[in-house]
Amino acid sequence: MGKVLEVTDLNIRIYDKDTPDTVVFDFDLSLDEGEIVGLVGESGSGKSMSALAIAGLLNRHDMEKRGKIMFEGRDLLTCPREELRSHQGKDIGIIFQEPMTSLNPVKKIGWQVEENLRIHTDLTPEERKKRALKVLKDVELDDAERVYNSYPHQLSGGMRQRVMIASAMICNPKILIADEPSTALDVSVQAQILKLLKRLNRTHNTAILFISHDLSLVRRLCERVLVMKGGYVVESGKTEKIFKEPENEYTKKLIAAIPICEGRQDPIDKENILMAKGVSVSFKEERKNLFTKPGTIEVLKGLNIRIKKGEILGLVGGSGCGKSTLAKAITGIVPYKGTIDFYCKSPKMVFQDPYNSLNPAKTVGWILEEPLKNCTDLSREERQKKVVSALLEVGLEEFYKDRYPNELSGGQRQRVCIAQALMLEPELLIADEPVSALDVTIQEQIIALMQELQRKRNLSILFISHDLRVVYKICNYVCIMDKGQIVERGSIEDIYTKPITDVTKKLLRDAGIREVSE
Amino acid sequence: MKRKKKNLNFHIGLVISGIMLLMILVGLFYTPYNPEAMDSTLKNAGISLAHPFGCDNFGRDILSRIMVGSRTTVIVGLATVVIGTFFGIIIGAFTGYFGGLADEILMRIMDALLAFPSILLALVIIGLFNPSTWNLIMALGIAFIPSFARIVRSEFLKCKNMDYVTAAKLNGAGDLRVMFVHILPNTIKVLSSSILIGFNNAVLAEAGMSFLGIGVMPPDPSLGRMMSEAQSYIFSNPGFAIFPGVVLILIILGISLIGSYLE
Amino acid sequence: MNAKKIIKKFIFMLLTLLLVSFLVFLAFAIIPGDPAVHKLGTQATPESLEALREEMGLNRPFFERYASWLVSFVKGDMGVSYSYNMPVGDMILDKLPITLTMTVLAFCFVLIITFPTGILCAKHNGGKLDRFIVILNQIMMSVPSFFGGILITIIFGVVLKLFMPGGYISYTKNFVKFLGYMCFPAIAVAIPKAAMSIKLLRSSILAEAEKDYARTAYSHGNTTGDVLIHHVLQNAMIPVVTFLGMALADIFAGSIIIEQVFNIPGMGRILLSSISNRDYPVVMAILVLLASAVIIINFIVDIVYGIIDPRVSQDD
Repeated sequence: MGKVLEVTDLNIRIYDKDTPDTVVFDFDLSLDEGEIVGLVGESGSGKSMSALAIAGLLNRHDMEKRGKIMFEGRDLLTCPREELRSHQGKDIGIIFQEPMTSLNPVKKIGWQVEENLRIHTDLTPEERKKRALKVLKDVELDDAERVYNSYPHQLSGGMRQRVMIASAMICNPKILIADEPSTALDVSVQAQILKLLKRLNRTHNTAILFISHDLSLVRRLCERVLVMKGGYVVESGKTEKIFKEPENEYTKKLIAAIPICEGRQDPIDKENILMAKGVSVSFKEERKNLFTKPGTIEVLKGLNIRIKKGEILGLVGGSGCGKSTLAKAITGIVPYKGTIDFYCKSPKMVFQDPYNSLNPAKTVGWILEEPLKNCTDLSREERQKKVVSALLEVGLEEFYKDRYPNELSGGQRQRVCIAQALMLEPELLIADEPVSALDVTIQEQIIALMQELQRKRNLSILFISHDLRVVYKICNYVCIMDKGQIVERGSIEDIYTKPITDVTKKLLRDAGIREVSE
Repeated sequence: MKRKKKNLNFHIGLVISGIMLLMILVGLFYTPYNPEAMDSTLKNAGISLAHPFGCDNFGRDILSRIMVGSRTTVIVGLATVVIGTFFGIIIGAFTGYFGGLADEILMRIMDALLAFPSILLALVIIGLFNPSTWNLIMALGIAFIPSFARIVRSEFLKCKNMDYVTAAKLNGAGDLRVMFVHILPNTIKVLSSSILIGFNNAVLAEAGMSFLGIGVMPPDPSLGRMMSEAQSYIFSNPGFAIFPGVVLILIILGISLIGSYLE
Repeated sequence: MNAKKIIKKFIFMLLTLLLVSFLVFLAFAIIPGDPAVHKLGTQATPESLEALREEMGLNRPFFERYASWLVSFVKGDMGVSYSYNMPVGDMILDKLPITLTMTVLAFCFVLIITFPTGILCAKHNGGKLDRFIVILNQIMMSVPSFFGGILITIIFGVVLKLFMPGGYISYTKNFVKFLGYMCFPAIAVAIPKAAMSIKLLRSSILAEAEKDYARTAYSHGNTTGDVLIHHVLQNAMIPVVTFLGMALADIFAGSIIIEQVFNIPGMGRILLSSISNRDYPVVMAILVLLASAVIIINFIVDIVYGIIDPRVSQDD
């Protein structure tokens, strides 16, 4: 097998005043014909930067670069722009994380897919259309003719990513760079996209550079893998070997973050803290026009759930199953039918996106003080004292109280959110996907924090997530939710080893857990 | 690099606005001549050391009149913006936050009012009552409410479903507290740049209406009036029109430079 | 944009027009002052006033008066001017072409200036030309149209003697000369508007060029120029179209002022004189017409919007 790409000693530094310098140090990579190589690391590790450099998409003005990117005997880093362009789209294709923003919103799909042919070939419009329809079918878009005439917003996320793949593949490139191609998608769609990439790799003999922050995805797809951290490649080699005998500390940590099945202690039966019976929530549909009556959508359909004192109960389901609505019903944000009985003070909530759950116009100290102002008669000094101790409790130092949310990292923000939710000392906490917007290693820290708080305060937590792997790390009991109802419940071990419903099996498959535990 | 350029704009804007403000403040206590004093020997006198901007058709010192006239202009602009912002915030906040039928009806009316260019609306309001500085302020203020209300409303719509608002409610904040303590500070950024734009529009509208003779009434000098009076003497005394115009441009330019920094 | 959506927008536009006419009628019904007194003067006897009120229909209930006013308005009968004693419709019809010509001319100038300059600036972002135009723009944006008009009069009329200041020529007498004269006020109005739209177009293009889809376009092997013209421009147009719609409405309404500078007997002139004469039928008619123009322009902008941005025309 011949080499299609050889990157040696690639160094990149980009100067930007607003963000910390992005850098890549001594990056080496060789890509054989028809090979799939994984590139793993968290955000800021330099993995996307390296990929953009290979695709020739880095702005060439305000950066420093050194090294070689050899393709067909030419160095793409130093060759004239004309020459680089003649390879872009023809020999090297790239797809990105966000298929919605990566497609031009005002142009038809057909026009966008055909673009590579317009630039790199002399085909007639009819021939181009034929090729475009063929490649759309090839990426398993069955209704190719309709997709061809659609605009991006008329397609689903998964379809858009297929379109992106089609437009990158239409010239049969030798290399396809996939930069987190499934991260923005639903878990089930994720699996389909991976399958598609694998198939295209086999049938077209296209080499793929697969970039991801998720080691388990890489394991499913790639023969070889490079692990990056802080701009350096810290480990590389055959995927299986790295999984069995990781050498680098960071790699070990990444692998440890993937759950493996092991026995767990049964929790002792305790009294209930929340009992919900027959909870139904329905929303009015958007009114179509002035004259028709808007219909209703039933999001929760007579759901029953029970949370025990001092337990962390997992609630898992795909997007749109109504799990966030349940959280809102429990906290009383949306009106519901049915009964929800509390055996405690009113529950508080931690939200998914720490970037919009903190008021950007206020300091952290103000935000933490607010619940005390509203609901207690404490004096200013007492409130201040409580704010400081709350900060310390979630692992932040005192000076953070004068900071504004935009000065904090995602993990720090989520810590502040947790502190705020705990200000009034609730006994029940509803956590709606509290870690899914965070990097893997930060996820670990937040989960550890929540476990610690739970033990110290004997909190009950309803932990909502779409990802069974995350739930595995923190919960003892899990409820699986689908279409507005709880379809299965049991200990985490039972759910992992003896799933009953198809929904659970699918969730396990999508999370890549079956393969790991087998 | 971008930030730097914006900073430069901002500083130039501050300097220009500062000079204008200084001129207006000095004009409160001191003008080179009495702006009302006429001198028939100086009719349409050109630029001289004694009268750096020359004199108008009644022999009044143009510089002194500009100092007093731009004060009127700026006060009308400020007052208009205050009225427009205050009622705009109230209407926008309640309609955006609560929604419902009242919101529908009020916004339809605002839409209809927005179909009248604000200067036209003010023109009619003032034409039907009598032209005077106070009526001008009222008319412009009312004419500016709909656009502010719209801006505030859309910001409230955007913010009211944010998680931090939900968190605030869960933590015991009442509706009024959520609206004015939690959400309102987040609209400041958008609001302040539209306040600056609004101020400029108000200054323009005042000048335009005074130019048409239905704004500030004599003997109060105003930049717009001076230009309209100067029109008949454009051949013999072009400075009479040019100097008030340049001052007007500087007032607007200074504010819009500051505003472009905020955007 | 599909037909259903257009019809929906059209109906919505008609409703807004109705609301506007109602607001205008309401405003003039509740303002202090008796039209009958205006017409006959304060010396008139109570009997003759009462007779006139009856004749003018002022004693009928409010909604009946509104309905009959609206119906005749739509038919083209806009009432009779108090002060000139002639049909308002004829007065307006006489002046409308003048104001319309200036508006269209000014708008064309805005379009002609905006697009080449905006694209040029964005393409050479940060270059000398770009920086010069940005500074020039910032100043031009701050020039009120009537002062621009005065400056143009001084420069082109007094100094260069390209036209006779105040020497308006009627379009019935000499259309070409009329057009030539109208160019000067049109330029005065166009300058600040063009400056604003250049600024908007430039920053919009630059913002769009940073987006992911532009990166995708580069990854297909497009040149910078191709990315700009084929991908970015259409997206960048979206906010500009809205602004241009507003600018058109503004120019139309702002013609009232610029007509005074150039001594043009257009709609502005009758509006001003009828406001000071309290000639309500004329004021009402002009108000409703101007507002209707704005609403219709907004409707057209909506449709253009749907053509440029397919997301808007989606049937949701």
